[in-house]
Amino acid sequence: MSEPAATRFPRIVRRTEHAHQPSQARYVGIAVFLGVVTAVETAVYYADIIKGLLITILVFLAAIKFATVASFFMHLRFDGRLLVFIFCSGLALAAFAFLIVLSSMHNLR
Amino acid sequence: MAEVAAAPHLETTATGYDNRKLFMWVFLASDCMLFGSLIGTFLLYKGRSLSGPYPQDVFNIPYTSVSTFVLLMSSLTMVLALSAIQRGDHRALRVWLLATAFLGTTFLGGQAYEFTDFVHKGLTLESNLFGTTFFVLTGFHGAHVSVGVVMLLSLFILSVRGKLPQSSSLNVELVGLYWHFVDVVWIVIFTLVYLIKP
Repeated sequence: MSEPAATRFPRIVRRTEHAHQPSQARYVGIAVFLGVVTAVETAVYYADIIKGLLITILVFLAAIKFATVASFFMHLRFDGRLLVFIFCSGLALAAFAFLIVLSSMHNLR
Repeated sequence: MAEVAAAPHLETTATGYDNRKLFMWVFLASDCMLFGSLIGTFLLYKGRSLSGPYPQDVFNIPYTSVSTFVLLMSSLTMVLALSAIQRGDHRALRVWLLATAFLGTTFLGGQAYEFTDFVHKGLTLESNLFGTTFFVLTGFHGAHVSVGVVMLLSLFILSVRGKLPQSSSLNVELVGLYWHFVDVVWIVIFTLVYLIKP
């Protein structure tokens, strides 16, 4: 008699993240939120604000949109930490590579 | 051999994730680096063009905002398509897949119009640093959207032919992950390329 896979391999688990996913109404609400943030971004672009503050606000709004799509539409909020780690590793490596090139260009000048 | 035959289903892996899903996330992480390098190059050369046209001469922010909104809404229809197949509602799945492909095609049409307009204003791939970095970055993103539309239409055809049962919802989920990734990349491009002035 073969034992169940989960018994033979204790670390084996089956993810059942579908049960925790948002309802369709919540998805629509999230999309409306993203649309509103985009409208705010466009309005901020035309606002008479000093450049440093403008950049801070725009980057903050973009980060909110990015996190919202990744968390809810890509289900990272409901999936395990491994997937979050993999995705964030890619983001961190991209940022690291950018910083290295940026510092190299400053050294060249 | 009996041990092999009784091997756990693909979903019951040591990580708990289907290998295809894990692969897709690793691919997306590597794609982060591709777009990170392209966006980084754009930012490094931002404001260093010696001759025009410059961003403020060609950009039409309200137009691009509408394109951004269209792509964001395509993420909604994509996630509704996934929700539909997980419920076993194949008619809704086909409707949402077609809607997503339509919105993606609308975005691509908008990008084609924008590129044509820029060329008419004198901005080409060779005209200056801005033109080179802008067209390479947004062109790569457009190519990703095009691949996504092809995958969406492939899923639609599979569904129409009855070859996309509820048990294959992972296929829709994987295409969805790719599609949402294209969306988050555009969120970054819209802010760093279009909205932040040099």
